[in-house]
Amino acid sequence: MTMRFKPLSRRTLLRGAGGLAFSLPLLEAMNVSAQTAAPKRLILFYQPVGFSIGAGGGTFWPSGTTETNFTFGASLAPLNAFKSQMLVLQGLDLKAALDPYRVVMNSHIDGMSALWCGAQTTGTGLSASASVDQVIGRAQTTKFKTYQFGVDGDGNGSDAMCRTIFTGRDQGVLPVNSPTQAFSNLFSNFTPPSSGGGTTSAPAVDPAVVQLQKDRRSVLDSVTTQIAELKPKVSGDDWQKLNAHFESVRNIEVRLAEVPDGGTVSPPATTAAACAKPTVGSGSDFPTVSNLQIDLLVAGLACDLFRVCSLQHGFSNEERTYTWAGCSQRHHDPGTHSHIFSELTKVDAWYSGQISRLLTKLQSIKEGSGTMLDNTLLVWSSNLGDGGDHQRVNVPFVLAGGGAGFRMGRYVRYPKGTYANNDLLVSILRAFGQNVSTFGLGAVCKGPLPGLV
Amino acid sequence: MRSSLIVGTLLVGLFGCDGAVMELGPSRGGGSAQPSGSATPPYDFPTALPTPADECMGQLAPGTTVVRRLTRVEYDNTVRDLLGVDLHLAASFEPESKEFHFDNQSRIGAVSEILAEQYLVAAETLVKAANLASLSPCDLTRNDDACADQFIAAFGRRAYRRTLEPSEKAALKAVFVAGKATAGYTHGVQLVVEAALVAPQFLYRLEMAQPNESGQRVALKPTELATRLSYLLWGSMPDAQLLDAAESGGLSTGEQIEAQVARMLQDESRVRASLAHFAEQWLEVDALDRVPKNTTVYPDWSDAVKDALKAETRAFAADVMQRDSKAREMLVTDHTFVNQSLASLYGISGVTGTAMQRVALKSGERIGALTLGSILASQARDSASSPVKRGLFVREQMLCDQLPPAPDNVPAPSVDPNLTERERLAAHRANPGCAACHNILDPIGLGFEKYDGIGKFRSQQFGKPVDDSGDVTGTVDADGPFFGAVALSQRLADSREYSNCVVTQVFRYANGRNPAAAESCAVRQIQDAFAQGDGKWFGLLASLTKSEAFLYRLPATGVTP
Repeated sequence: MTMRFKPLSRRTLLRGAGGLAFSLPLLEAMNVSAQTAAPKRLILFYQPVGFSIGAGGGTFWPSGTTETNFTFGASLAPLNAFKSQMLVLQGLDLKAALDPYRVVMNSHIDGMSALWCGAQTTGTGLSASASVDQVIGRAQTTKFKTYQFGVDGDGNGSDAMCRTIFTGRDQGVLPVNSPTQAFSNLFSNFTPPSSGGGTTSAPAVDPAVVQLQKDRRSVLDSVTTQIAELKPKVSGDDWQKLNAHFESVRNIEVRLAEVPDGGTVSPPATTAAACAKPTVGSGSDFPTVSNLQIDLLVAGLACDLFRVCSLQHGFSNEERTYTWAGCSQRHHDPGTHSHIFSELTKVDAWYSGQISRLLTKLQSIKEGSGTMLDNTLLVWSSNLGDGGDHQRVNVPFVLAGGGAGFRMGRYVRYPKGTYANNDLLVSILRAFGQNVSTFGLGAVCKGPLPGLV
Repeated sequence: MRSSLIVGTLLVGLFGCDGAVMELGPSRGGGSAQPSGSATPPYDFPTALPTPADECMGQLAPGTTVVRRLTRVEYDNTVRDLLGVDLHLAASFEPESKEFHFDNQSRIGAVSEILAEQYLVAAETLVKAANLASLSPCDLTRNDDACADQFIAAFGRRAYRRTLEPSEKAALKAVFVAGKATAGYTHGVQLVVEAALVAPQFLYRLEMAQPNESGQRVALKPTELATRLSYLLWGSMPDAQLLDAAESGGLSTGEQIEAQVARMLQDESRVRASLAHFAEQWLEVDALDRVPKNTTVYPDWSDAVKDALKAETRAFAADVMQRDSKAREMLVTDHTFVNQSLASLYGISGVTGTAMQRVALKSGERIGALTLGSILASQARDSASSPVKRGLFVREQMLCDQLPPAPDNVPAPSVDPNLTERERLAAHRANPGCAACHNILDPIGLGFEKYDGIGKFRSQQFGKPVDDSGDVTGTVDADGPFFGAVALSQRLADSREYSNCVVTQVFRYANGRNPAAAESCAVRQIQDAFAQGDGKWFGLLASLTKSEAFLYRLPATGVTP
């Protein structure tokens, strides 16, 4: 069956441009080639300031005797239904955030660069190199190479405490913390595949859309031309900053270039039936925003707007009280540095519940003979392991879904102090087609993490 | 702990809290930068020391300022002045990353794909709202290409803040030709405006003077200097007079620069707006959004109160930045701005309605910036005050000290809710590992204990009178015990310690970076002049425009990736 989609009118394209909600009307320019094989997706899930682990009451680590015979404790209990599709890794260290590699000597910040980048910080406290999603994203052909969702992920307004995703040295990416903004970016000018069966007539071409696309190509071409001409005239650090801008503009140009005049929309072949324009609900409290962002994330995947994304809850030095999870103490009180395991467990369990919600949605989307969850890898971790002690050793990495081809349904304990999370990142990169043997800080890498496939 | 603790580590490194406090940038007047405490630091921090200012000698070297991109505020101001269109589109752009709590710091902030799109769509919106005829030096209705060339040269010069290179004119001309070919002459001109608004020359403050030899400072080109002047003093692009002077040899000598600065300072409302924007960030007004309050503990707290506190701080910041205001008045001014909900929090009667109005502060209860409810509430916890945060705020923001972050594995103090903060922290300081840092934070913060976690004044807690005794240590001229934030503010206001810090903070804002160790002597000179002069904000801006850091640059030498 061939599905056709209506081109968008110029009025639609420009709606919102002068208003408060700033739309990104390039989005008509979507053209995803039909595929028969299901695409692979990656979701990085950040939980702030560690987990309920440590002597005297930690509940995060499963109990059990063998790799496949284990039981979730209170922290992970909400994920029981997904146990067979999960892989719990114990014993990985954020080695780039440990001596002798620490740079800014702040135990909150060091782990932020080490987590997804496997990198040391620079003197600014930001990462020395790019995060794994951004590297994988460079090869993506979706409308957005990557997308970053946040739930109050910019809480204290500064870079180093809040950034987990980096395009390169010192260049942190701000997550989109507002569901309204994310909806506007992703869906404001998006027409989902028709559900009433395809039509066979050729799409009408709106001359205004054709004009707008031509204009944008001309204007953006002048930008890249002018930036390129500046290269010999500016210094190295200046060029690095300009080059990041250049790459961003180039990505837009590439998107535009792939679209035939008139801007038709092609369906994501394997999940087209599940692609629908979502509605974005209201509410600004933390758990509500979390739910809304999860809904948008899944909708974006289903419509193939991106295949690589991240969801960051909070930030590395937050002082939130998870009252909705039944907590009465702040999660990480700088005045107490506390180990109140009953409280920490409630926070873990709430995040487990959010991940369960996300996985449930992915599993509800049929793709080929399985579900979208079979073709997605979710990786859940934090900048600290034992948050009360500010530890960057033995940081939990919990994986879910079949997207990387790892053997799931297992609880793997690595020998203490042996492997860095970098090795896991290398394995993920390989699963997503990047032929690498080290990532981030090379000195701490041993190669792909053993025991995954 | 907060992020600002870690910034600037390339400059001075971090020190163990051994009772000494280190300062970013130049060291304290006359004193040694060496930590004075006798205890061995319990944790292993780097111990590189800055060059003591009293040893400064030899070549002055400005620090490196990486190319700066217009902030959202600067973008809106600039398109207003460039196009006569005031739509405030940048408010919805991706926010800046901050360093030192300022939005204009140079090392960080790459343009993401989303922001690149926002720039493009904003340019499309702005050009539709602009009156092209008013921007053109020639009659566009003639529809001739010669006029298009003139438009590109004239409009491009204002947008790029200098005369265009031939290749830049060619790039814009190509856009014109393409637009004209598809939708006519006027459309071509519109695309020129769009292209200029997304060009790096517009979005960045490019400084391209190259050094003769590696590591040597270079004087800015006059147009680059004009741009620095206008964004510092006005938060926007150079006006015609400044740009003409820069391009005709009229901004080359010290006297010429001084004359332009004097002229620009006459435009008091723009200078005040720039200074107020500085002060709002210095006082961390945005921090209020990041500290939720427990309304069971604080039933007086509401979004209306929070919004009023932010409005108060903005009004306060603008008000203390008058032409003849002195920096000391920031800490000791005797009035503020409140509406009804805020007056209730402050215990001031007779104020009704939501509009902010000027009122006298209750004598003895409040004075100046440090007793603003926005600071007291944001430097607190959700259900209690926080002497630690308040002490840290004073140390970092008002004294420009830098403290190391909490080390790993620090033991937990009591969380007993029936203890006062003073009792809890006293127990915490009994541990030598904690005492090192808390000995210099807590005694300042405990002086604020007569303000609760939302900034409300209290004389009693747990049925006992509140003890607001405090102590300042480790400063050059502000040490000693005190009772309450009013007394502390009065002491700091007239201290060299605070005066020096004001210079450092304005330096960061003006130059988009922290002072480098190698320019500590130059900063010391500005600090001396500021302390010995009239201590006024406007004069400090003028003084900074004469400094090495402002007139010269050390091109960044980072390796091209």
